[in-house]
Amino acid sequence: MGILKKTLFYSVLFIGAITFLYPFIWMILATFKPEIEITELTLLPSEFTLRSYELVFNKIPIIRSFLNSLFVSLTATASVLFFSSMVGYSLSRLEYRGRELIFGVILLTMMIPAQITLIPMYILMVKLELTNTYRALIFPASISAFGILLFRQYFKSFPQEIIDAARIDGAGEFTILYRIIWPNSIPTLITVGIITFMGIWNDVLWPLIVIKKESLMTMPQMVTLFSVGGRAEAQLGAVLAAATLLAVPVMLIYLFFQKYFIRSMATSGLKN
Amino acid sequence: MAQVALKNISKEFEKGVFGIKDANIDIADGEFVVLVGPSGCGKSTTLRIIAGLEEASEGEVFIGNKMVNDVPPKDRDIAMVFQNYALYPHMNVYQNISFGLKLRKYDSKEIAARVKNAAEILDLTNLLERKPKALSGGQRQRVALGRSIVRQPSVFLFDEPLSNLDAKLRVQMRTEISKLHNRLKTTMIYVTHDQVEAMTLGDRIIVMKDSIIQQTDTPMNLYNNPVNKFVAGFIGSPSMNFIKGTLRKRDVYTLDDGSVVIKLQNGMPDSLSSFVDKEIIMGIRPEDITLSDSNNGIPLTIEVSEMMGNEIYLYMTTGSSSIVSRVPPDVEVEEGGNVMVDFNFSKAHFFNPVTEEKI
Repeated sequence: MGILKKTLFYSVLFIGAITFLYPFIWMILATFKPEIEITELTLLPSEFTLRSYELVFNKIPIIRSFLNSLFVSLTATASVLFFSSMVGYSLSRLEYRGRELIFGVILLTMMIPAQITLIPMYILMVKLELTNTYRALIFPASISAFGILLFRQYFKSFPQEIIDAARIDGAGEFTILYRIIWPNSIPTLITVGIITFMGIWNDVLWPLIVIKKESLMTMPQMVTLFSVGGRAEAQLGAVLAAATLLAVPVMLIYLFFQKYFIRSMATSGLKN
Repeated sequence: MAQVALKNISKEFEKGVFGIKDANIDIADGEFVVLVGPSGCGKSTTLRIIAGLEEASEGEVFIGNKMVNDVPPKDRDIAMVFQNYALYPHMNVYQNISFGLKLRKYDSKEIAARVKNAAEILDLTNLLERKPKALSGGQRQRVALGRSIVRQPSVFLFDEPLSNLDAKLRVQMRTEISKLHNRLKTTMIYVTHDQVEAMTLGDRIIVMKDSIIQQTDTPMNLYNNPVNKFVAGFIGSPSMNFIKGTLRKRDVYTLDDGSVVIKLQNGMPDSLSSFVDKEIIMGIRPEDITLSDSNNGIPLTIEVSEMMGNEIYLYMTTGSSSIVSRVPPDVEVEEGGNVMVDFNFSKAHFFNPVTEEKI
């Protein structure tokens, strides 16, 4: 590649990176500025302050909501991994009548926007008396069509002989799935795990609908209510501080697992 | 220890597509039986039906006198070795070998003892901590063998276990498997497409083609008395020569392939008489064709001669038929030259050109 072409290439990448990173960097730095400086264009604060964070911690039970979010997201993610891989295994490795039809129906559910099922789901939660419980947050998210799809595709490429060998060794379907296939599907597990975790972590709409009790609220819900509900006292810094606290865990998880994540995205469907 | 029997087994994958058709097999306790045939002939399907990995569409499978059609693989008391080893990639050698015993809830002392014993037999003692990806092909296949012998099953099933190994290792593993059979005296059923493996390993060989069993017999009988042209051509290397021609009779039978008239000697089977003036296929093995000293032989042209060290393969032609012969390494021949050869007609086979059955 010529030097000119290389320069151009990296310039474009650099501009792209800045476009995505700038707002984020600005947000984080702004949380450390005095309130008065936030609307200015400067990036660095003239005086470093934690006032904004103080306000957040004083005004809302942010730690409690963080723990709520963590509990709900982790539980639901574990459940998605457990159940979706089970369905994915069945759809890819077991033979029974109607298997493809079931898969088709599962795919179809992916095409229905969540907003359409919002009200029926809410009514269901009310009838089951689950509103204002963790279960209302966890149960509807405990299996995912996307996870099933990804597991199915990956399991399809798993060598049949290894499954046969395990079967002859005395393994039942659960042993085959969880003790033979799982340990060899780490990148797929991580991919489904991250995507599921992020989805549940970031969800605002559903918690807003089913949770009214402050002690059960998830972090995005709490932050949203804080930002628009008046308790932030129109302090932009506090709103940004709350948003930063919300984004950091997801970012950390992503950074930690990204190498698996990218590997899995690159190799899904490829054998070995 | 157990005998294995298949009674009228068929497997229909979809309408009209058979994996195996109406197979009847009887395998004695402790016998080493080889299923051999070209790829797609149904030999692996047969093995998988015995293992219970595939369900037969029709017929019954017996292992040790017990009908096992509805018995899952794990309860059939069998072990299987696969072509691509099928080791569990995330487990080390010890865990791979012991997995089946663990699932069967053997106590850990018993497991350790059995793994140790198997590792000694297969020379794996130093490799127990390694993961499969750190092993060579031959070592992996030994681990796969180890995994099956620790279970002490009553039947061993092998599905082309040596196909992924290089030629030298294949010969070595072949003798290992032979030794293993001599030591364990367990029933073994072995699938391969390699007729050399079949001949060297099997007490009996089952030759299959197009989902149908062609012949079941000892290696020697298969070689000397093939029931049809397919078996005759499949067993033996280089394979049997086939000369298609018209059979005539004056004082003796002659075979005219369009280029030469081959005079058959006296004492040909009576069954030939119904083929006079009709087409017929004569089969003769390369070692039953010798270079002739006299001028009474059959004239052939040498196309290629292949020196094997201990013998020479001569590829010759009558003009219409190709013929290969194996001759001692010291004969001097010239590619493109003409030679006279003698056929040992007492070893010749005759086949019906339509049914390809032996006459």
